[in-house]
Amino acid sequence: MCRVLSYLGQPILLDDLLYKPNNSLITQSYDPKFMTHMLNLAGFGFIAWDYDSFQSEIPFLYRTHSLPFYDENLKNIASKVRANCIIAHTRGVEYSEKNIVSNQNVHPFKFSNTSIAFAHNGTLVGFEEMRLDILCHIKKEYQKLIRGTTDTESMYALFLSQLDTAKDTISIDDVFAALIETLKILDKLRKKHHISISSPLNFFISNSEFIVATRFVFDYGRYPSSTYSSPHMGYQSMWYTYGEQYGLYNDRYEMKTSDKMKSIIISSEPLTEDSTTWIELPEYSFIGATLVNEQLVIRSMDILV
Amino acid sequence: MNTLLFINFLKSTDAFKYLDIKAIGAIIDHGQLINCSDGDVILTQGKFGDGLYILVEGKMAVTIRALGKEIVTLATLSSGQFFGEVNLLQNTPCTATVKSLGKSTYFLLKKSSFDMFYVGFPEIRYQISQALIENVIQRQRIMRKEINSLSKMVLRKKVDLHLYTIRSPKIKLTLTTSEKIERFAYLETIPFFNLFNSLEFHQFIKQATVVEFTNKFTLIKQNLLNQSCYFILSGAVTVGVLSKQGYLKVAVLGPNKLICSTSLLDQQNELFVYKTAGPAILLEITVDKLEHIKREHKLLWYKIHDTMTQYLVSLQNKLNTQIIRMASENY
Repeated sequence: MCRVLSYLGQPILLDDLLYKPNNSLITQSYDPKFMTHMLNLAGFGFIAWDYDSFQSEIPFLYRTHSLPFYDENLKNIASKVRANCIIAHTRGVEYSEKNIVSNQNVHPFKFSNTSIAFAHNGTLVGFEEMRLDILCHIKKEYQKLIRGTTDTESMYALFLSQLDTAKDTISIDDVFAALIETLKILDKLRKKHHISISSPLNFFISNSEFIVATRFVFDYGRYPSSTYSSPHMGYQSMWYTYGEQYGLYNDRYEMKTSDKMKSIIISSEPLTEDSTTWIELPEYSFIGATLVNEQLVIRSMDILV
Repeated sequence: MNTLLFINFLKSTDAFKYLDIKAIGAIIDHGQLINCSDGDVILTQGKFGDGLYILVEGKMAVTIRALGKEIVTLATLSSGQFFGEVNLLQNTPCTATVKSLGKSTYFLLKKSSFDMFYVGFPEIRYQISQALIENVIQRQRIMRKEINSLSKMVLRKKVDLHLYTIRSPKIKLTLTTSEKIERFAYLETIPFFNLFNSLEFHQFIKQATVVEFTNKFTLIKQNLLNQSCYFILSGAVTVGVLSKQGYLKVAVLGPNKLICSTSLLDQQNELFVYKTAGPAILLEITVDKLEHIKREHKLLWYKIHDTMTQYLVSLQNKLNTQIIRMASENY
């Protein structure tokens, strides 16, 4: 299982999210404080938008299949780049020679013909059986851009195919609606292939103007056999925190509290061992955040199965 | 304070209200009195405490840092009040900071001693747990009222994906005791049953019925008394409250978890509603079977009670999250 973080708000140095907190995203990949049963050794990537940069609609994009904690280039970049909107991801896969570790399989994904980026924490069980059927539901303009072998990239393309891309501005409601359609298609295909095993689908989506995340599992609690046991059996976690600005305050990395809500982090786990100023996104829900007159507006939706 | 006075003092506290004088004596033997100066921090939010604390003399402030808020003073504790119970019952970090206001003295029963009572004084451990969980449930009643009140102003969007067709709502599987023990032998090795010995585990399975439930089946209803408890074998169960906006989900639980009604522990109307989220297979233990275990297998009952209190304490954070979200988010 992977680890992901997304951020929207005041300009922030990437270092303050990726390295500095005591459970930062990079630290989580080799010494996590939560979900300690797994390491994330299959690649790292981030996408970041700085509203004040040259051609600000074009994001910074970094992907490597190397281990991020040995990556000097990444550290240098993180120490220098500030951004208003970020998705970063460390990939975790089963320790098996059958898994393909490559740049093409690193999240977040962003096709050249869209401003929307996508990352995923979870597994679509039975993807190999459903792969061709999923492709049939993907628009041709996205089919040809799939370069890797992951379930995530296909689900990204499927999600994009549900969006009305003719619209000038995509709202959080548009994203929620497209996600619902995506889940309905996946459910139909799972039933077609008689797949009823627990499949976590925690998505992280952004286009620099919003971030949206889902905390959803198909068939949660249903496993291949009654004696099946795995450290991944808990409901895939997702947490968030918000406030004026994230940084070092009173010797702690946390959101500065004030009556202004200007920044939000949504991530697979808190970035600090002390999680008292974080809350869990409830299971079976979507959350979206956008900035309106520099103030954060948070929306969520409950999903019933 | 002389010993008799101190015994009577501890006996009068909520935490030890079910203990007799002899039991209080055992508590005193295994605890310690500690003096504090003004400003001393006894518990720190986010960190683990040492056990159960009873304030004997002086005053203490309880404060929290919560999402989106500056530090808030929740309460001022006075003599006889206790704290640290969430950490004690569930072994999770403290949910608040407690600081001495002026000089004070507290009695500490360490967690390690409390856990050792399983072996030497299981009934004392049970009686303390029962007193503490009643207090926790009482707080949850207040939180539920707050959620009800906030829900009048909040209209959260919901979408039903209708992933499952509704079949026969409930199918009981007829298995003999030996068939059940053989079929569920694997459960004996999971962490949930760590503290059960083989006889206790077999007795637990013997009292349970295997039931297959369809999606959205209401297992436990709000505001009723005396409802079964369930152990989840496969599938998931949602916990929620009924509000002005309908069913508000508080948590989702998966396999190898025990769910139980608050009314089993405090004999008042049930706080929550439990529904299956998808088809589920559960072990059902009805109230009369639980009563049988209470009467005939005390040590097993204490262990089941323990798992119930741990589960109910874990709902505290979930309720808190619901309140914070409703107070600060836009729909």
